[in-house]
Amino acid sequence: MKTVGEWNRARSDFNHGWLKNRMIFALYRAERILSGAVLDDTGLDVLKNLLAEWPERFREAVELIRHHASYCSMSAQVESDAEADYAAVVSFIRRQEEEKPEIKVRLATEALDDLDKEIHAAKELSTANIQRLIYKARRLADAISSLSLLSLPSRL
Amino acid sequence: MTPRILIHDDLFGRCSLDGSNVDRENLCAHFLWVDATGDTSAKASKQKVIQPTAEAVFCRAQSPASSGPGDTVENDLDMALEAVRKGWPKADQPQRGRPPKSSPVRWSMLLIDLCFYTGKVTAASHRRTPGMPEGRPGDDDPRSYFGLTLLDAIHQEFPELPVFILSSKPRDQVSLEFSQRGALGFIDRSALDGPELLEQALWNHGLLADPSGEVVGQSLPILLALREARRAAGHRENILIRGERGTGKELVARYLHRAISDSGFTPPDLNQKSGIKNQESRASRPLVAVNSAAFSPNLFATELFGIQPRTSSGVDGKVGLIEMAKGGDLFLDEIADMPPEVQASIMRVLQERQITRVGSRENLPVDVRFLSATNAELESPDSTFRPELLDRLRTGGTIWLPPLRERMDDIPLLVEKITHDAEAQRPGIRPRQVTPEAMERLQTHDWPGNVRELRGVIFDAVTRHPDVEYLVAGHLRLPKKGIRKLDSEIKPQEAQNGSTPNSLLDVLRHCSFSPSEAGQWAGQLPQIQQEHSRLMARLLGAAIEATKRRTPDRPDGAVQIHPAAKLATGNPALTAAKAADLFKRLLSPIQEELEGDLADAYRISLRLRPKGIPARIKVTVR
Repeated sequence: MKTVGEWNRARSDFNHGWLKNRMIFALYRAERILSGAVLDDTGLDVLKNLLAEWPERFREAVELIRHHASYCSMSAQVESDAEADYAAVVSFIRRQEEEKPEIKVRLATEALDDLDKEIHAAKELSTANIQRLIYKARRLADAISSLSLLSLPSRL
Repeated sequence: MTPRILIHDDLFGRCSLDGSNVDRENLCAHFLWVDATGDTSAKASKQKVIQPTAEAVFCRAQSPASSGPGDTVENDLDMALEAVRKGWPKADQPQRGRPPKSSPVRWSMLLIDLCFYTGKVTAASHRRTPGMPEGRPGDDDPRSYFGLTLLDAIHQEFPELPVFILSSKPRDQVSLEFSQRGALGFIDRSALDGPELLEQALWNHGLLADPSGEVVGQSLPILLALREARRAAGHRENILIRGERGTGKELVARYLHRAISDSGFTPPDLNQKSGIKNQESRASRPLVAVNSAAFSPNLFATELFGIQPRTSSGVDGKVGLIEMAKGGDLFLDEIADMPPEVQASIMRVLQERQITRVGSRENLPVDVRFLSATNAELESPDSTFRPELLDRLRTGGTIWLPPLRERMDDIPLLVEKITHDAEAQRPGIRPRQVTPEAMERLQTHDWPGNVRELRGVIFDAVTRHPDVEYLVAGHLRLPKKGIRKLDSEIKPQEAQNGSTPNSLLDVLRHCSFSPSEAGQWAGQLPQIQQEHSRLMARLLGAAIEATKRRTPDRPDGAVQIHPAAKLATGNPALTAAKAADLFKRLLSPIQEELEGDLADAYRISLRLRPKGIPARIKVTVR
């Protein structure tokens, strides 16, 4: 398992660096081109290249979500031989109540699967397809943003 | 004119080693910006935005600006500040022998990213995003964002520069920090409605010149005043416009009135926010302008509230000014001259939001916004203006217009516009350029009469020299040294009140009538004539306003010089020809500075009496 710092960096690379700042803007650009607001011969190729990267990025996203789920598990937060570590157990239960990590993980997984299906279904770059991709990419970005490890025990 | 914005951003501001930045092209397409950075990426781009909302200049705020594997990227505060300075001229005061230049295009707004990644550009980080470093601990920590450090430094050096955060990071992590550091707001960069939000921000907070060109200027004081006017256009509260004579108060009132229906910068959803249904209804909102000095204590009620028609007695109805402005704006100019009876009536309208026509008992609700203007110190103990009325006339705020001496770097733009106007009014005369010496003279004069005085000087120069290609310093008739000293001796109160009997008397007091100084006397005569004409023009203007023929088609009223002359002279037997002669003679010394109704009246008088000015007309004012 990665450290929390490494996980944060990986999330930033995927969500902030790739999904929000590259993929979503490439979709916006394609939409502008298709609507005629922008004249550009290369803009759609930029999007096609990013879509070709998707299988690799999809795997990154799966790893991110999987690691988050691992961090939020009881076994990660309460050491197995510390049955007397009552405080750690209480802290874990309270975090589950307040942050509901399993719900966030479920939503992120659904959003990822949804975008994956949409990318595979979009055979051509039409305005309707691109608008659906924008909606689903933004939904995934929001879901990944909501995953947080800030309140975990510092030893992690 | 398209707004010009500066963006500090590591990702979109960088240039990769091959000179391209695909991310920046994506961003520009989404926000409908033209990339005006001028670096290799901007030059290489073939993207064309059909209707750009802004010209965007990008700055990485990091060194090196262009990076590849092996380079180390560090944040660079000096580079960021220097980029801001390039579009932010300091206030340039005229100095001897060095007139201020015309101001370059000023940043309308600055956008700052939050997270700037630093460190080494590795093969892996470069493969992922060309030119981007792998990042260091703390780069992505909201407590130590470099964007907030930038914001601090920029707000300290450029407190008037509107700054927004443009980031795809969560807003709630920095909402207190960016407010404390002077940013005006936060726009989620990757939001679907980001472009609309930015347009709205530019409209409300940006420094934008008047796209119609009617209010001329790029200087900070005039851009700040226009911003206040645009902000006021978004609501229906009453606005007071203040400034010295000749600063363009009516022009700004008209800008404010039409601001909401201007295409170009108006955000698409502004209709909904202002409560106005659609473009057509906004464009058709009336603006009725009236000079408050024109109200007579006996007749103002019929002018303001109208007359109820009565078929039984044969009384014709008349629509009052307030009803004409229904749903729109009523512009009251020179409110300091409003008679006390009128003040009381306007006060009642503002309190009750309804009017009663003369001859009727029915109350009619009115939805009118009052725009008022004055150059007087209404709060002074000597003022006869009712303080409670003043408060009600500025419930939506006050717009202060700067005097010309505080925006001297606008003079080249103003001179160009005025020269063009003067040439356009005189068909067949030669178009001309203004020499640097002439411009220097214009930029080192202190202009107590502001833009109106500048307009008069340029029109005079063009009229007297129709057959030249250059406007040179010798063509300009500016007050001589003694006269200029006189201007500074006039008490501020009098200087703000425009042409008054006192200003004419002041000119006369400082004239030498000694036969031994005949040359000086001859030099001062034109100014005495002009001062006299300005004073009479106030009387004629009031008379025109009081006798205008108003119809629903012409809510602002048509100028009628014959009844106006009869009213001004108190002579009901005055003939139409004599009336035209009166206007022609009294207004000819200041024909170049006439605007609005007085300019119309002067043109009518010339049409009716095209031959030379009569030798003498006896004018008696009762």
